Amino acid sequence: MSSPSSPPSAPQALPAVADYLSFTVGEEVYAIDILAVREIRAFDSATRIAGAPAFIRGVINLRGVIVPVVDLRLRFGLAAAECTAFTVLIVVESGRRLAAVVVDAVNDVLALGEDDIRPAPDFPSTIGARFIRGLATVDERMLVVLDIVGLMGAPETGLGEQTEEQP
Amino acid sequence: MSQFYQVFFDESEEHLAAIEAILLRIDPAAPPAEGIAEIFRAAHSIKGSAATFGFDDMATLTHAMENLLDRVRKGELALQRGMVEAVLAACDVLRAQLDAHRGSAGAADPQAAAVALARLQACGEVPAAPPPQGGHGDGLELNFVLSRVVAGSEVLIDSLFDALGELGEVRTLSRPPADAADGVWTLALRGCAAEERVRAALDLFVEPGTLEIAALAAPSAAAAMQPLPGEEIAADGSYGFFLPAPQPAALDDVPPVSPPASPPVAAEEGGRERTGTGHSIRVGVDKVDQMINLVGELVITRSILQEAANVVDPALAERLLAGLGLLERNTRELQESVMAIRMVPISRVFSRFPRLVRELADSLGKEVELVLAGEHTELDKSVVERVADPLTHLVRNALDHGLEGPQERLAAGKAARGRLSLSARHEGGQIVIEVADDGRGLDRQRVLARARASALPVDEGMSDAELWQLLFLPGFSTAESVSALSGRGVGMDVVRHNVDALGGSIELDSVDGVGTRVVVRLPLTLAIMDGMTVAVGRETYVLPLAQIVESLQVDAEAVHRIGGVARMIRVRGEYLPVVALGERFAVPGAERDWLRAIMVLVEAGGRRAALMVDALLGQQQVVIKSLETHYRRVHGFSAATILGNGEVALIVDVGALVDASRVQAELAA
Repeated sequence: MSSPSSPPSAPQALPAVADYLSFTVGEEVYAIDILAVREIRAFDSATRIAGAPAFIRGVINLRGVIVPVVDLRLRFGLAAAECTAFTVLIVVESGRRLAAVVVDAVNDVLALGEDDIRPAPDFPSTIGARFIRGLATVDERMLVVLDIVGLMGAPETGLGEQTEEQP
Repeated sequence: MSQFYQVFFDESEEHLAAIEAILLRIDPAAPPAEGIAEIFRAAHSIKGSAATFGFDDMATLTHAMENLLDRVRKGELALQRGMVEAVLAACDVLRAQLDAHRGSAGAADPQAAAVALARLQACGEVPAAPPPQGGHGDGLELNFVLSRVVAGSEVLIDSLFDALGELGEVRTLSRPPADAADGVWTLALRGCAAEERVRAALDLFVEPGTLEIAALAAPSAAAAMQPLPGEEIAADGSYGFFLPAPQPAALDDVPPVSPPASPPVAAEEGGRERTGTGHSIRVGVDKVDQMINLVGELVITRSILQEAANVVDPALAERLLAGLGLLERNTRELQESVMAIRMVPISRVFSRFPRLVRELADSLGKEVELVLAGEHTELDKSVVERVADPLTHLVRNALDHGLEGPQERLAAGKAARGRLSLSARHEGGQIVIEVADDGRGLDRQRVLARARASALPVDEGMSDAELWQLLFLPGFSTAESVSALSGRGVGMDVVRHNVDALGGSIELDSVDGVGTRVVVRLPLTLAIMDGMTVAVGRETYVLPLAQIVESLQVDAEAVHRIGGVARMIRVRGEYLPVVALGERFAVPGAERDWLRAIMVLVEAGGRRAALMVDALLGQQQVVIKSLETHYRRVHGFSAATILGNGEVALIVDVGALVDASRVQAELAA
């Protein structure tokens, strides 16, 4: 049931049970493979990049490396994206590249079995259905399991080299 | 004394490893002269130090090895497989002896040493034999006409050279001009290839019946290295048992003291570099880069501390501030030494030109003398890698368009032989590379005509410098004929673009009939830059100091409006387009009033513009951090850096903004 579009950096053969990090974006709860998470840190400010799309908050200094900050709330089309004391950055690693993701709050680390993740019904969404690996239900709440590596590497997220110049 | 022993053990180990490495790669049929010389030097070093330390067993064996190799080196003996094996066996024994002296193993087996020694001496006893049938030790001179198919194709000609290269060392003595398909080629083939093999190799390439093979006139050092008969005797170690036992007298020849680090022979050989051993270590570039990153972090950490200390009362924290001062000095020195690791001589790039120039000159039918100067000037590895293409372009341009053919030169009263000089030198924090020729120079009228044909705004009154700038415009070329080399209109603009991308500048200077000179200035490194931090609204940006001409405030008279909108300022008679960074980067709260803002005059690619900022914050050295590592290229910014407070600031790509400002100004006009 794993997404066929998983880049090679994702675990090759998914074990039956894997750990996921769940977090809140707006009212929704998402979960991502914990192996893609490099660290979690507080978000204070980023250096804005002129001309970048709104969901790119800018770049931060992560121990000497310049890392882009993607606001998942804006990326997912949520109107409000306030930064509160709970706002955190999840630094994700995709291949050799790093990106920091702004989310409203980090919830928990969950072990999800292969069987717990059910395929998502086809629906149009700003996330792009291809980055949703499936849905899981934990404590009566629905979790959207995201292919974060695929999402960060997608051309429309604009973090990669494939979109060289700004229009 | 024991520490000297340790040095000896280490060095000998390295030498033995070097000898083995070379022997294993060597092809006895065509041994490289420098490989033999290197083994000889290594053996000589071991012998010298072994004798010094009184390790006579090792000295005896290396002495025999050295004697043998010396004769091979001088061409008295030909290298053969048996010798290689004998030397390898001797190496094994030497290693055992070394271990024994070090105490890490039991006493070396004297019997094994005697066998190895005898074997080495046996190799030396084999008399030099006449060359084998069909072989030509001195090499062959080949005269032939290429078959019609081959003559037209560089690729096929290359494969011809490859085929011959397998038989020996090939050198072109003369080749016909490119347009003469049936001209005669003359090649020298050194080595010991039999005539039949040469004929077979050339069969496919050569017009039937035209191949003539003759022995080369001049003998060479390599010539003596022919395979000898009797190899099987030498290869068989048992032969050595019948030879006299090791002569103690051999030791008398050992020079009493010979410092291992400087074998006298090395000097004779022109001080050729030793591979892999001795005074240098090879380190992966990633490790060096990692170090540079860490030092960069240190510089940032230091400035964070400095900033924190600025609020402290100097009277109270005298020691803190003194310590910070010291830290700054040490950091800077550390930074410089780390950067120095990445520095490589520009000869890495220059070295490709002699061949390129010769081949191009041949194919163009021109006579060119290439003069190189300042090849040892050092600059950052990454700059060297990226300067190669623009320089190649400039050299090709000079050969193709700058220098005239011999007839034209003689008619103009110059020597038939053109002169192309390439030089490099340091100037301030930059490296200056000059490509100069004494050719026909640029023709003002032709540039003007070409500019008019392209509907560019030109007039007779333009200065030369202004006119030459046109050559850097995309698609602008004055070449009369479009040759394969250059002149397709993708020339100087690409060069300038590459140089700009490196943060450098390019100037062109030419006198009609006398020559052309292109001066390229580049930063020594791409890792660190002197920057000016400027404030725009609440944001901070960095401008490369090298591109800043001056900064000033303008008064109302200097502001020029087009269509009711302020677009340009006039500074000392020059109209400059203005790029308001606040507007360009959509910074909230940025200064919009031209009279209150600061105008920073910048120059990029020979063009000037004014960048409007709110305030100047200060000059500082910034560590350049790529945006592309984890993000991507962003138009308008060349990179990012980390400020003293740990925040990221973007480094403005002045070149891109200046170009954009020109387009805007032209659209408005």
